[in-house]
Amino acid sequence: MAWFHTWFGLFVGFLLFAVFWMGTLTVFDKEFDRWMHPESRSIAGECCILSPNQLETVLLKAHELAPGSDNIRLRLPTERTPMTLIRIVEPDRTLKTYFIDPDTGKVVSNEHTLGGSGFFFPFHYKFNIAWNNVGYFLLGIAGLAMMALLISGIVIHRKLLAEFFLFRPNKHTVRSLLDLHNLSSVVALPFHFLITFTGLLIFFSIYFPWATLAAFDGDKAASQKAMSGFVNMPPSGFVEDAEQQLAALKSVPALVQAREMAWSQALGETARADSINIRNLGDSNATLEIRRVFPERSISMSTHADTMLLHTGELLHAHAPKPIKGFTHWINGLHFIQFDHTALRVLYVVGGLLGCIMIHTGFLFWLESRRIQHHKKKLPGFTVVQALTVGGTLGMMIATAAYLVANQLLPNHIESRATVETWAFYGVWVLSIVWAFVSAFRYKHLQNQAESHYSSQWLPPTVVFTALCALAWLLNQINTGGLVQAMAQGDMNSLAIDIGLMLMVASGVFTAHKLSVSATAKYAKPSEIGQCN
Amino acid sequence: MQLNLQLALAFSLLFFGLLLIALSQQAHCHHHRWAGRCNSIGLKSVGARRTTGIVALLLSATAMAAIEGLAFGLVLWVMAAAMLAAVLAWVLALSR
Repeated sequence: MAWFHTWFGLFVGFLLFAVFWMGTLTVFDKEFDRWMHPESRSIAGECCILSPNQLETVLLKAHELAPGSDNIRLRLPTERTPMTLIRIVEPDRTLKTYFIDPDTGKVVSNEHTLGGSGFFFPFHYKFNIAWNNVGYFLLGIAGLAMMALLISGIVIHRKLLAEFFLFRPNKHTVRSLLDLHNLSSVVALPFHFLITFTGLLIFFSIYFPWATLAAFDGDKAASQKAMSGFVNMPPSGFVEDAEQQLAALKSVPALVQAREMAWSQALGETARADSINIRNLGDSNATLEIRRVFPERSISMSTHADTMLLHTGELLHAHAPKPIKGFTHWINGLHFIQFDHTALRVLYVVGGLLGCIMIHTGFLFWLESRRIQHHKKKLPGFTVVQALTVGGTLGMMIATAAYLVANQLLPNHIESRATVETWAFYGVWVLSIVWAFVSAFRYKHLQNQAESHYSSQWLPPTVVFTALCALAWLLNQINTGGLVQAMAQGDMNSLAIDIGLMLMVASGVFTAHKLSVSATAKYAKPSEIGQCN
Repeated sequence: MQLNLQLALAFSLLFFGLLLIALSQQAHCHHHRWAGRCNSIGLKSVGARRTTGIVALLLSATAMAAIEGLAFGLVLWVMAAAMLAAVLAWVLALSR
């Protein structure tokens, strides 16, 4: 078991760190969106309920933005996204996204940054690899490995309960690292299990598509209707004229209100729609889909999805998930963490960071417990794993900070701005991995002392990460007014990211100070350290 | 979630329960600061500390479930327990 835990952890750990780090950031993805896209921070008017008139204005504006489009999707405003998000599928099937402030009528494009929900989130569940679902399968492998690692970790940690609260920072490095690895694993063990298990369940239908289809005799449309309430009405071929289309759009607010009332009566509490999808607008079989994906006081996701004929208002399908699907919605909600409970989301971030610490200290323990042995036997393993650890963990954190800095520095008008931002992330990440390898091979001749390597390998990336976080924070203060402006406007979304960056800077300064003190106090300069032969 | 008196009490109970369980373990049962305080309120034996700690944990879970609803309350309890346990281990380690 120990052998399995050590070597499986070493090979899958890099994937797992990426998943945990990006997942932790994704808990506040909408807040990152607001921070990275200041034009969408508008908090004018009452947040966050659209009146029927405002909804009509938004729909007509969406139609005006793309008159030829037959598919309009709206994500209605919430406290975390105070503007209405319009997604329009153009006739050439490209997707255009805009934000509209229903109070002021201001329309802003949502395409100059991917933000948190367009970059951190897909990185978390598919490593931004879309080709042939490879990203999803890599995640599945990582998730299964994580479950196996958790179970094997419990088996090999014989004093799990007796040493539940034990951390000995003043013991030698290997002991302290193992304590920290055990502590971050054990105290958050229910979270690690829950988040891994629910993550695996979410993509069950991608990993085993035939299992779902078998229950519906291979009928994909029937399975989608039964599971998520998705109704695909084929177009009749009869084209409605422009006036009829406008009249249909104007009828939407009343239809939405009617469905909300029906839900509220069934539940005995206020229920609001949060997304609207109009398909085949120009056709007489146009459909209106009204969803309630994120209920206010519930962990579950996707509780309601009703579809009706747009031109007649006839209800085609009112989705009532079967109990097992209802349970899946609850599981999904537990993992997606989009519920209206800020304190719990902050605790999820803490859980995610404990996961990152668990993985990172696992690597460090592997390194420190083999340092002398590998040096004596002149094995390359230590140097390679150390470089990969620096690049794969701290390198990813540096790349994330660089992504935020690039977002603040790049002018809005440059072409493919969102892509340039992502290249900043990948460029910095690759550079940090290259630096880690160069540095590891440069210092590999040093004496077998932990601190001599700390000074060469861990201090510079820590300083760079801290400096980039501070720079991102500072640039936001200069560009948008930052903390003062956010507090004046009650904009808690960007305030949360500013506070997060400040905490990262504080912890970075603390860590860098500890590293530099331990390196200079106990050991001489690298040139004065003897070489091992 | 609004932090009200009941919720603050539930979090305090949770921390108190974790602290008592930590002080019932071999690594911390003779802690120079906290063990003395435990003794002064009558929780001298390992068994007494452990039992009181478990009761405090159960009470805090019940309180959170009552205040926040069963689902939110229990998830909140699990996550808060993880965070407080990590903080507690850190604090106890620094003052060992």
